[in-house]
Amino acid sequence: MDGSHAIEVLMVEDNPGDVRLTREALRESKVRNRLHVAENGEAALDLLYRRGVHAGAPHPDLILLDLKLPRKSGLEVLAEIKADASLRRIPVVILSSSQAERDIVHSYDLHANAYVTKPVGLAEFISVVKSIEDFWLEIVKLPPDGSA
Amino acid sequence: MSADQSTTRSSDRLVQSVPSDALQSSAAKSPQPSASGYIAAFAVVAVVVVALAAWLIERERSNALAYWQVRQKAATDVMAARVSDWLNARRADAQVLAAAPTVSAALSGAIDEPTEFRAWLRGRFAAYLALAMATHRDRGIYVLNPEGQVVAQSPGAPVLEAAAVSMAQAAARQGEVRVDVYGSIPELGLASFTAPVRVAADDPAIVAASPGSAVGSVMILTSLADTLFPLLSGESVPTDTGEALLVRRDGGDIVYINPLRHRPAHSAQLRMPLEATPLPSRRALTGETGVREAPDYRGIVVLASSRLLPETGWGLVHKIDRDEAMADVRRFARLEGGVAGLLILALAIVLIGDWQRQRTRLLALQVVAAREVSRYTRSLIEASLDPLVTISSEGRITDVNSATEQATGIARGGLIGTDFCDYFSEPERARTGYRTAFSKGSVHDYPLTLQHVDGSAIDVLYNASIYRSETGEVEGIFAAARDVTERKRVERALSRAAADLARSNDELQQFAYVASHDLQEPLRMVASYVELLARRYRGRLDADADEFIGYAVDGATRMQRLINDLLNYSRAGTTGLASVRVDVEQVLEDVLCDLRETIASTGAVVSHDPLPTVTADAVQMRQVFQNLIVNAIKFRGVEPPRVHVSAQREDGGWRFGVGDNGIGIDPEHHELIFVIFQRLHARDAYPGTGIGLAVCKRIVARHGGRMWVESEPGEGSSFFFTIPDAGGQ
Repeated sequence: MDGSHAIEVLMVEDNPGDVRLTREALRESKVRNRLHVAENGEAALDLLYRRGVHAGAPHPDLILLDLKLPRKSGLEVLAEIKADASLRRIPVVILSSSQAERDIVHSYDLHANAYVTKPVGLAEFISVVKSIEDFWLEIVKLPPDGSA
Repeated sequence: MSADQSTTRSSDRLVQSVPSDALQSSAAKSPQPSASGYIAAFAVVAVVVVALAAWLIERERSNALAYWQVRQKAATDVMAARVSDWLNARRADAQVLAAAPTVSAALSGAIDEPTEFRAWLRGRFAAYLALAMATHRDRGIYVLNPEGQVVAQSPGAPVLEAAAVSMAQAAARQGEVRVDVYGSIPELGLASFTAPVRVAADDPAIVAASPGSAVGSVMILTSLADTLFPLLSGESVPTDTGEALLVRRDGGDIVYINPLRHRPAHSAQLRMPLEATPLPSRRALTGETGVREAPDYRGIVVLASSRLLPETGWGLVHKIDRDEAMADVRRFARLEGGVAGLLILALAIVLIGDWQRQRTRLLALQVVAAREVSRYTRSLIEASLDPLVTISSEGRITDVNSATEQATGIARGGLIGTDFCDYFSEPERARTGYRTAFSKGSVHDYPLTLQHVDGSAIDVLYNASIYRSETGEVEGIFAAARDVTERKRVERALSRAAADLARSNDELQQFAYVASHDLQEPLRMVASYVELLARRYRGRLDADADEFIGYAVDGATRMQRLINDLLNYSRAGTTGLASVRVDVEQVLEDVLCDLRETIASTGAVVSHDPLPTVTADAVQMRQVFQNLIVNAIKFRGVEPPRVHVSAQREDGGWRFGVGDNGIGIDPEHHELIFVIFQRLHARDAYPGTGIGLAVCKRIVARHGGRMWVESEPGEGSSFFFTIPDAGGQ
């Protein structure tokens, strides 16, 4: 990751509150980033496949995926991403308020890269987002962009 | 009206047919009064009758014997006296003749002299002899000289035989009277009475002879048939076989003098050896007297009286055949036997009659009893609310009770003889059912649906089993149907209710989970943004705003914890149990490790018994121990907390206990503390949502155990719970 261009983060989340909190958290980040938001599963996939208005959308470097989404659930979106050769290398972090073991196991079965429960407190939330950012955007070595 | 009558008649017929019905108990066995009593009575009486008859006959026999003994003896005595009289009389006759002067004159030869006197004398002598002959019917009277020459004889007298002459000589020599018998046949037998003739001293006629010596003899020859035999043949009471025998000894033989009644032709030839013979004649000759039973000359047993006649040495026997003597006894015995037989026969008839009467009476009683049993059985069968039927091996109905009539809506007459299977909604299933009963002996709770003629149906369970005749042959099936329509309805309702309950429980669980889960989202928003508000605007608004924001944050945090606990509680009841062998000692060790900071900071001392291994969910067990130990430490008194974990084997599992020396719990709250979100204390004093014990109780309940507390305020608390464990240690 060179710092020359902004990191593209796709957040699939129908709760604007969480989007805002995430945006607040990312604002404090030292990495330059751009947060794209899809409010439902279908919109997320349109964006990823650059369908319709999203024709010129960039490929995200990181996907933050909520499980409870209208129209198409997070797990369905996850399954489609991981089934697609051009998308499957994008790290997908499930960011859900569910602590249910079923959801966690199911997510990892579908090759989610990480599962994080949304913390209750603001400070915790910010620190979680920061941690995700640190780990996935700074620490981890990922395959070169566009090679898929 | 006429229809009614016919119905009544037909039902009467059915009632009459009842005794032969299969549902009837089979007739009782034919009764038998005890025959042994009758046989014993018969035997006793028969023996008595026979014994009595035998005794009477024996008495009769001995009476008869005694009578004949007396009679024979008397007859013998009489006969002996007659014979003796006759003998003596004739001997005397001989002696009188011998003493007559005429006889001596004859011997001296004076009679033969040719003088007038002598002629007269000769005439007188001849007249005398003729008179004597006529008187006694003698054959002849002879006067013999010692040389044996007849010097004089009665007119018409036969010529003397040589034997008679020698007898006369012997008599003259011996000087005494002799009696002799001779003759080849008794009818011609003769007796001779010979007396010696002595010379009187003053008899001038005898010159040569010396006085007192015998100068000759006189012999009277008489026919036995004319004189002696009539004496012997006369019987005072005539008999068929009685006879008197006069015998004499001749050398070693017994010779019969008088004619034999039973062998008249051979009397003279009959000679019996004297020695060693049981003949009564021998006894007579040897001088024995008395009456004896012995065989006579014919070999036939006779009752004989014997006697010796001393004058002649002859023996006299008077006898009668025993058969004749005992004829009366035999007649009596026959009569007596007949009477006894008749008595016994009569007794047998009476006894058999009585036995028959008893038998008939018992039979009648038994028939009455059987009828009563039958009626009773029938009434029970009819009283049964369950439809009962009997089925033949071909599947035909042979009998029903009224419950069956009601269940099918068809009268008894319409059911009997029809196919059992026709009355069910699934005839083939019914067929399989009764065939199974026939082949296996019985079926149990066989479900069928009984069809009523009105179209309605009832669910029944059939219990059927084969029944056998007295000889053990399978006669048919007795089948009882139990109406389970109501039971089935209840069962359906019950299972519906159970399903409803399960669904509602499920829904409730789901609701609790979803509610707490979905509540978390907005709560998180509230909490986060209140916090953001606080972070960005604290001190930039007024003091009230800061305070309000503070309460909002606090409330949101508490709400968060409640929802979290609720989720936990809900999960304790919903997630599947992962039952494995759990080492409780290890569980406790883990818990104490997690709580080591709390333990250290409060100075708590936790001890424990040796803890077992149980089958349980490891995570949940850990949660239970953790909650209980945390509580034990949390609700401590002034003393540093002392906690003891115990384990005790009890029936069917283990009883665990967590006891402390804390503040204790009032007994009135012992139930309350296990209710979710129930708290006994102010939030500041003892923080917590009040969910821990509720979760513990729920976990224990899910393991099939129970949980309770024993405590008094100030005395500490002991929480107990059981975990069933069928295995050993």
